[in-house]
Amino acid sequence: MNKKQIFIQSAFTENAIWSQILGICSALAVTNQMKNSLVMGLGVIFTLALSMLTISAIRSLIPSRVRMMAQTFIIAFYVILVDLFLKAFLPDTSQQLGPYVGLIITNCIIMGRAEAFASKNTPLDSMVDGIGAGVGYTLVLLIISFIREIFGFGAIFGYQVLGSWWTRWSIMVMAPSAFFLLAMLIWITEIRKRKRG
Amino acid sequence: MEINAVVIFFAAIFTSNILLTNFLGMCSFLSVSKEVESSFGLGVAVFFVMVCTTAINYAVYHLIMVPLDIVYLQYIIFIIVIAAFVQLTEMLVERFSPVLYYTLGIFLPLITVNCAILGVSLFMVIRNYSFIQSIAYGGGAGLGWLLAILSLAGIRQKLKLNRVPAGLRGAGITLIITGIMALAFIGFSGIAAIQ
Amino acid sequence: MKEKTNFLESRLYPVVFMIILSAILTLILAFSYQLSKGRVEMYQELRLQTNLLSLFKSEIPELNDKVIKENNPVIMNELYNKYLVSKILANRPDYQYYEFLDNGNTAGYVFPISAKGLWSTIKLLVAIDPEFNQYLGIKIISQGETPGLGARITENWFQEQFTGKVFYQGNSFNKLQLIEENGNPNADQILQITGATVSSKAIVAGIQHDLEILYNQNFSNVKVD
Repeated sequence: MNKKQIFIQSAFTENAIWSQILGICSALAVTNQMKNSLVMGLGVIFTLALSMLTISAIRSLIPSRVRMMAQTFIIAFYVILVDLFLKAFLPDTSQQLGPYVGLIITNCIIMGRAEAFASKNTPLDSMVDGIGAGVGYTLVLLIISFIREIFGFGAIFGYQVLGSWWTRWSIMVMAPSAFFLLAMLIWITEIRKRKRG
Repeated sequence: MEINAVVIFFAAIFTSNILLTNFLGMCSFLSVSKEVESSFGLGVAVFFVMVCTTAINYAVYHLIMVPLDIVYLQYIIFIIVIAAFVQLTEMLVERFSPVLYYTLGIFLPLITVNCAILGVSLFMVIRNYSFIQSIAYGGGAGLGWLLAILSLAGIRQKLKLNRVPAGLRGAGITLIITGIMALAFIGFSGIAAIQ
Repeated sequence: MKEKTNFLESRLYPVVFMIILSAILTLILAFSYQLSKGRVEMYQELRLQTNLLSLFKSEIPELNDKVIKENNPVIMNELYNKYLVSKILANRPDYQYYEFLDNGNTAGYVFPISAKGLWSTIKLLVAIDPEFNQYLGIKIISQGETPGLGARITENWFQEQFTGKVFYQGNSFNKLQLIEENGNPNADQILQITGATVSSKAIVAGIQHDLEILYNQNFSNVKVD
């Protein structure tokens, strides 16, 4: 498989979207605004890319008995770097994201990719795979937050696009809407999957 | 001015349920909620680990991390504390109570990656809770999680007899039910207003 | 070569590996933390200065929405030094408050106040005129209330309601009341946020409670008869 195929497979195939939907949960709370979702997504892409690279590069050195522990360590290391970066350069966003940056550590996608791909493949391939999974994840986050922000605030990325005539749907700002939207997304993915057989 | 710990406890169960408003702990929530019995087991385990790790993390944070100025390492340290605690509990339970091990022990490995546990510790730091408040929050969040997964498991058991559109079977319909539950829990915020 | 393989399989190896790994990672983190520390502190100071200045937006000619949005550290620092000075209470040396100066005269005070919300301690700044008659404005600095409900206290319309409300009238403190969000408030009423009564109440009660103590203990002599 060349790099392009790896990227597409981990970003856009139905199975990948499926696992992204499951991994998204820890970030659902930030999806009521597109800006926060984008920052969160970029953080995940960064963490995924570099931790996959690192894990794959030292995969022959990691003792099997402490494999999970070592992987968690490496992931947490990059998450802390993201956190420090946000605190220093995007302090407002960092405050809004609150604990959710830290929760990237427990994101199932990252552990999943580390186990399934990075511990068996070359560093560069693993990095491409990580970026792919991260991009797919970010797209899912952005789709949900786009719907929530435009209906909930009449805005896109904080810019008011719908005028004052727009009655804001408070349900879109609140938690339940995220569950419903995620369910719709799963539904659409499933239907497409079935059609292709 | 301190927020009453009792208020935090009940608010964490109902008005700000960690699963239904903060979306934490969804992975295991979606995969385990098929049966009432196993949901109860996992819920109790989450509750137990949550209360204990919140207490330990509180001590570690205020007695070690703040004095040493290594607060920026909190993510790594909290996750180590949680993983170590879960491992230790698993070993103790296996050794001293095999019966308990077979009912609860199997869920323990699932818990390290449960983001609700880490989330509670992080919220505790961000909201600047005192020790009592932290315990109340950890306990409330744990019970709230247990309540959410138990009710979902109950509904899902009934759902087996119903016809669900093919594409929604499994995670899809579960998320819709969770959404409706989240809507229902918003109703509790009226109670908080009375205190 | 043979020796190396043996070591990789020994019982000691995982321990050594984890120690080396955590040592390297922690070192890099400590280094990046030191790098970012200065910037983080600078931002915190800038945010405080911007918040303080924006409370007196109408009184500072150099300040408008554009300047606030640009948030240039140099300009903000200049304005801050020109218009504000931080002070410490005589009986509480750890409590810092701010005085707003207009041409060298005290034209208002700003007090940091914390209120007990539903979830979190809400921190805010309250500006009041030098005679403690009316509020000049409030600014919520940090809060951890429920997004979409209690967190709406940070919306501008909610905070702007306090501007011009009476704090002290005649010989007594004036009590502000809360009414429904879509009501028509009179001079002493504040619109509360639907579904977030606790957070709204907390702010009104917190401000009045803290300011009354401050007034009674430190500022009861500011009244000009």
